[in-house]
Amino acid sequence: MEGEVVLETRNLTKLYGQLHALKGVNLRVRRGEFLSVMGPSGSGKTTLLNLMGALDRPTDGEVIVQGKALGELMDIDAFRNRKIGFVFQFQNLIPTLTAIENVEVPMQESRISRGERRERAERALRSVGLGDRLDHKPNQLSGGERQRVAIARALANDPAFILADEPTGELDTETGRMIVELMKRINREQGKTFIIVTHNLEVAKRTDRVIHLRDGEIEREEAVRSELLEDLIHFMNSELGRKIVNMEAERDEPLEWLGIFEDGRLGRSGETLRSVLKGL
Amino acid sequence: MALRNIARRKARSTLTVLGITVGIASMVFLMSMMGGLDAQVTSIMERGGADLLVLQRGSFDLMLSRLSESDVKGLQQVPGVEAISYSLFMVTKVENYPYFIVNGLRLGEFTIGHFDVVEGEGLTPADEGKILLGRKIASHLKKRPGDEIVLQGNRFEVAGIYETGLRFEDFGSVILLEGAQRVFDLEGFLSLVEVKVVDLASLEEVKASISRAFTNVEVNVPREVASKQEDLQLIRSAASGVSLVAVLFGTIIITNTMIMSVYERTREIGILRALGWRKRSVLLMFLRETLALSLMGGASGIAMALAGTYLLENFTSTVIPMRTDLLHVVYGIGSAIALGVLGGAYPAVRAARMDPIEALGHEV
Repeated sequence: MEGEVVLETRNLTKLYGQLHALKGVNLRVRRGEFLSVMGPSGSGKTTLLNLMGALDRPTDGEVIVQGKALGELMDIDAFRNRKIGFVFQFQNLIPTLTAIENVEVPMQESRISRGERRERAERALRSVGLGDRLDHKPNQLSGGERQRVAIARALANDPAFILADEPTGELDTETGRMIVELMKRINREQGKTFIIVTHNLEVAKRTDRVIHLRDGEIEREEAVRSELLEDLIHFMNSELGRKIVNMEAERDEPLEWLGIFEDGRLGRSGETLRSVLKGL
Repeated sequence: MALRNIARRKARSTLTVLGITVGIASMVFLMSMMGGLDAQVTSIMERGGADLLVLQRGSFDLMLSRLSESDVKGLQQVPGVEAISYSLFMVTKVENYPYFIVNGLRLGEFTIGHFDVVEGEGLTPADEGKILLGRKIASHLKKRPGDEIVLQGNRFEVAGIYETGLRFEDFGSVILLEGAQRVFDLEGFLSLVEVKVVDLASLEEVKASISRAFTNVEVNVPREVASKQEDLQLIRSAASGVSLVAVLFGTIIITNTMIMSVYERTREIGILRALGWRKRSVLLMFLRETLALSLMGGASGIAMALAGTYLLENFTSTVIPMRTDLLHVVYGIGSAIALGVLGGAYPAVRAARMDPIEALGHEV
């Protein structure tokens, strides 16, 4: 992968009491990357995101953003405010404020005039297609619209990074897909670096690179863009794919002939296929 | 933003504001009452231009002072004394009115000249069976010149109605000193002697020479007597106590409201901190809300106190005079602000100190 490394974690470790949430994670993120972090719950993905976003301090190791270690920053609030845009899973907006006021919230912490704040918030909302919803309160917006307001808010201070924690977690598949497409478009058009934590494969496969975390360690990482992978994912989500993963064998002559099933259980090829699919 | 956050929980905010309103209202009301009482007592003491008051030794309270006329014999001759005025001051029940004030005064002395007769006639030396009524008590008892009034079993004919503008006096009466002494079985006794001096510059000298020459008396300037009135002091401390409790009560209410509000909005606080809001900004956000609540309570409390004062003065027959001045309003607003800051400080600090991650993970 080309491009300058803008965010790097070195031996990033986080302990919560006895619990080893992260065990020495080394990760390099390049400018303009559209990256996802996947893993089952408890794998440490949200912890990793929080450390990268300076919401938390590591027990050991460091996060280096644009050449500077976060641990040495004097003003961590200002860093979060100017460099990072956060998108969370749910209850993301301030319920008493309108869409445009919600987008203005991060700008209230920076020295931006009221007029300019409004102008920038409006621009950000238009860029996510909510130009006609400026004065709506969160409860007057759909789930997808709310998440788009949150994305506009993350863009408000023109940060270099957008960190998203399960941004589609509360949305239906179709809306979730649109939100990912929106983020992807912003990544492409505005060059923002995205790091998206998700447990949704559909989301992950739309990113450039997937980091798989397990038990606080990077299990592996992969570039997802291959046709084969897309096909495999498609296959895994099919009825047959699910059966293979769940080891529910069936009697089917061509499949038995291919060695996928054998005497009512997975055959040799079936086992291989299963291990490939499980690894996705 | 502060007002909208307050409007989120309308019922709770309204109750909070109401609690503060009651607290501030009682405080301002009591202060107005104390202000009125002080002013009233001082002006009564200074009535007719008295520069010094001679009372029984050791009795600061006007009602308890008993001087015999022989105690003060020769007072007029003390160098520097321009004029003296004898006075017997009593309170009794007349008809249904329990605080009927009787001033026993002597004709020709300066104090009686202070009671301006506005209807009927003044008293003459032959008028021992006659009485002058204050304008307010006259209208309260529905008496006019020529009517009768019974004082301790003695009939008096209303000679005239006076008006001094002092609520205590306008709810009282004037009879001749000898008559008063007889009615109250206090022949030869006085409550006090009011003294005018020739030259105010020598006030202290005159005061000292009276104290030297008369052993059984206490000499004071009127303002001192007013401030030393024991019952006033008692009322004053009761009023301060009640005010303090009221304000404390308001502080607790507002603390409670804000703690609940901070708890409910934990996630929001997490979001604000994640978006780069500083602790200080979160702190100020909550302090602004408490201040808005307490100022609303303060303003409506003051309005309530003023309304109460107005109603008491104009629609009841109480002798308690009310005086609200700007200072009381300033105190009211000041206490509301203090209460907001005190009550809001702990919840706001708690909000500001929240760990953003824990706050983000919080679910209500």
